Amino acid sequence: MKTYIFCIGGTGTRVMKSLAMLLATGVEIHTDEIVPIFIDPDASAADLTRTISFLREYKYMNEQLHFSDDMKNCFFKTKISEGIPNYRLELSNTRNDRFRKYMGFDSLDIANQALAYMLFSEKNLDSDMEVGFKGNPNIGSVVLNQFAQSDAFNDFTNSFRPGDRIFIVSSIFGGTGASGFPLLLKNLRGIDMRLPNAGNIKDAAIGAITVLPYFNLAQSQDGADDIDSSTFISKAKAALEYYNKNISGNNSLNTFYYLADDIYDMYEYSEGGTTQKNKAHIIELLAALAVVDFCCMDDDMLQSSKGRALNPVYKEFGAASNDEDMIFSSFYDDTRDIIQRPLTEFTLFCKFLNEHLSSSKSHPWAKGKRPFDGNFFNGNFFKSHLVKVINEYGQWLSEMASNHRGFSPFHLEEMNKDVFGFVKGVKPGKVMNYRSNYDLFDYYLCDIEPKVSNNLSAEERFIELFYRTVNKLVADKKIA
Amino acid sequence: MGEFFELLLGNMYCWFKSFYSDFLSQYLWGYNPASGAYDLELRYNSIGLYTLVISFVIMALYYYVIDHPRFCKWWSWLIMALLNSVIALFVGYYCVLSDYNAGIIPDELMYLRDENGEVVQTLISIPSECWSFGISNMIMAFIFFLVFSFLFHWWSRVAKYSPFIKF
Amino acid sequence: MDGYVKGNTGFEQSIYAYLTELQISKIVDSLNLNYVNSRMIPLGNDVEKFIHNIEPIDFRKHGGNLGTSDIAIVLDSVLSRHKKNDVSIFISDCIVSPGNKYASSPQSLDNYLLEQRTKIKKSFVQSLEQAKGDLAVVICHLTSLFDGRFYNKFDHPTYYKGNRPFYVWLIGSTAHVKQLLDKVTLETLKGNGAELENVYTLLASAKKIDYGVLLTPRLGHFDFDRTNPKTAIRNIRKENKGQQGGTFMFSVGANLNQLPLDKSYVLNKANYEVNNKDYVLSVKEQKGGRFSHVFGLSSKIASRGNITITLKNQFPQWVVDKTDFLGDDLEKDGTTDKTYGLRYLIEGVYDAFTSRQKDYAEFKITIN
Repeated sequence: MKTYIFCIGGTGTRVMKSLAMLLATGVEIHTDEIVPIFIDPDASAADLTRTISFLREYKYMNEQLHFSDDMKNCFFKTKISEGIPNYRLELSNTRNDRFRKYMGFDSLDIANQALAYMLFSEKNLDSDMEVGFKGNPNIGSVVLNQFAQSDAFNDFTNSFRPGDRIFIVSSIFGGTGASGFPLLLKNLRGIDMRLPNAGNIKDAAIGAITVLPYFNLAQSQDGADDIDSSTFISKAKAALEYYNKNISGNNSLNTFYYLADDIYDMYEYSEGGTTQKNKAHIIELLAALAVVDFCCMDDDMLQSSKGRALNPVYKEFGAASNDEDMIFSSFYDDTRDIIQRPLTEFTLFCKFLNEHLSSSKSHPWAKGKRPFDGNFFNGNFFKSHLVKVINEYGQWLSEMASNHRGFSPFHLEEMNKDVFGFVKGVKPGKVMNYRSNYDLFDYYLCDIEPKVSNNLSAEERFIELFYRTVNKLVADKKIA
Repeated sequence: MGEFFELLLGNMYCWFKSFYSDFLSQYLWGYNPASGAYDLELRYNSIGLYTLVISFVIMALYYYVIDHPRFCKWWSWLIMALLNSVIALFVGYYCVLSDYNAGIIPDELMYLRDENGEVVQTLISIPSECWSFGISNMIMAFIFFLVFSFLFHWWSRVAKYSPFIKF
Repeated sequence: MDGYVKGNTGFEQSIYAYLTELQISKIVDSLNLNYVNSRMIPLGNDVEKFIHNIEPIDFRKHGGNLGTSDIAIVLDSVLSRHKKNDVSIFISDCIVSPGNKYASSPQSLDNYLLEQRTKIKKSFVQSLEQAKGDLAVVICHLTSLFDGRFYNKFDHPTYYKGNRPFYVWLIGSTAHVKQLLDKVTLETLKGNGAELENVYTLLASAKKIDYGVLLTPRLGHFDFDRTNPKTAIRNIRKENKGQQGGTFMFSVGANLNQLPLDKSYVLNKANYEVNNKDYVLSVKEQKGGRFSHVFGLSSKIASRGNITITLKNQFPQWVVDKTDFLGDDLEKDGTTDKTYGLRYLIEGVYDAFTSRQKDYAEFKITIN
């Protein structure tokens, strides 16, 4: 069963990245395969670049690991496949032309031009769309209408199978997400029946999350702001009005998630492109959890007929506390049960690799029947990919920790004298073992290594060994 | 076959017989000058057994109790081997000395006497030969420790590959 | 024997002293005294009475044929009455008296002597059989004053007064004889007018003598062979330092005092034979310790193999020396200190014993 995730705009991109991070840590999701599809005219958006780069690394890791019966490992377990080339649904004619030309304004008669002036400002008409719609959903709703005719959409319809699900991620306050989400939904529920699998898509289980404003933008240096974050709220209100009638009002979605926050960080002004590199935010992680939640829902609850959900469900997210810097104990148990253990295990794994691997390589765990030698650690898998993944994950955690509202469940600095005390608000339990800190870690590695099958490849054995070790450590030390 | 094992320890100890006198060696073999037969306690076996047990315990301590990531290199093994050897030195010394003090060592092995019963020559010098035998026991203990290490290191977690990288 | 008992002779006194000593040492349960000529005449067990009753007149009173006495027959009758736990003490001049009938055919004398030898051998062979080899004979050669008629080989008497040899034979099991000799030494026979000149012991003991290799004294090195540490050694090495360098020597202890042999005989190297000529033997007495004597075997060659030390039963020269081969006239022949036919008598006993056991003892050591 595949789950197609349409990630619209910057928020969609960043949510997908958070989801990929969660899946890298082994968060359980009840789907066989995730197929991300990015819809963003801003091809050079730094966040999109980063996310796609991470997805490629994730895909590499997932393909190296094979997940046979011999493996208990959950890291990188869920398949994330490149359903369409570069994961992106290409939008044509948004690169070089201004909106005016795109919509053929000049070819309109005077009456239509007058109508157009009512809908679009001069500024809107003169917008270049290379980096998206700059917070103007009115532009986006015109331009994005084309994707139903794109080759990528055809690839999507061709690959869709009965039982597959669709999820749409967007922000309500941006330009791309706000316009793209309803358009996409309309094109799915009102799909051209001539397209392959149209019937399945029309009545597919579709969920969506719309993310309300969660950050502000500082004013630009030159004062010429195309994007004004003070309009985010008003735009969100306008969009919500629209959704009320045309999405929840007509049961288009089987499940609709809302996510909002009242603490805003001030981001550096960027209209898009390579400079729009927003720090990871807890909202994006929580939005990713909506995907997890959607995949867990039974098919019975997601029935649709004639393009309408029979039992639509609407959900919001609630946290146990309103901490400015959230940690695991800020959430209720349902959320903690999903994320605490996998994140803790993977973080412990990363810390070991960063802080202690070099002095641990001489121990028997690395010198078994099929050793992890210089060739392995200098090889492609470790040096070119795993290290990159670890660094990006660390970066992701750091960004969330430094954001407002922040999410910093871990002490990310080195704590050699209290290695297992890195989970904030959790005191590590004692184990029946006189060894402690990384000595204990090494001991567990050496204990578990002989139990890992030698039939696995070196890469699989490495990840399997460390997964089992951190899994046991986290359980024994009771830190998740 | 039974005799082979019965004499095995004694034969091994005799590799280092040159450290001490033949007379002490005969005592340790259980030679009884009064009967001309080997009917006294085979002390090589009893002392050898103590040394074997101690070596095994220290080996087990190193590989299965301590088994620590920061004490699992070749020098860690060597420290334990030396500790074992030093203990064995004192075990060997003490066993012979206590036998002497208890009067267990036959007089004919201790001294050469003339017709009047006066000592003409001391055949076993106490305590110097106690130390000499202790030294040979020390070497035996090292050998036992090495052999036990070869045999039983497999199931250790962290110290498995010490003293050698892999063996 | 009349000449030995006339008056108070050394013969009487030495026998008296010896028998008294036997009684008071309580080594014997009972003493049965007999006078023997052609037959055995018991005389009770009163030693004093026995001594005072052995004047010639008393011999005659007790009857029997005082004349010719065939020593072989006498010995045979002693042996035939000898029981397992007895020690028989036979006291005699041991003069072979062929008798008058040989005067006419002196050439048959040799046959008679040989016959005596054979008879004695036969008697002792039988006794040895009965005793299962556990029989010892100690023949003591003494001298005492003799005053009386001396009968030559043809039974012609001549008067002689002077010292004459007589013999005391102790016959019994090796252990009993040894016990007797230890408790009442042959010295007791001396100094009461009689002189103890020589002793000859014959043995055929079935009992093994305790012996074994000793750890010291030694030169060089060896290990005991654990399979047989008493009599087998291995890994021998010569001494490599000092004046004794190049020599290998080891010691063997043996309880030779189990044998009722003369001390000087046992300590005389010449009475031993070592089969392996690479080794030179020495013999020493040892006071205290497990063994009474210690053999030293030394060699510059230090060869391996089986070594046998034999304590030989050498036919004593004194028997030959003290044999009167003429038997005519003591003074004319100059044989006052000799005994006619002695050699044949003792040879008979010697043949009987050596047919059973050639040597006194054998000690076997193996060098692996």
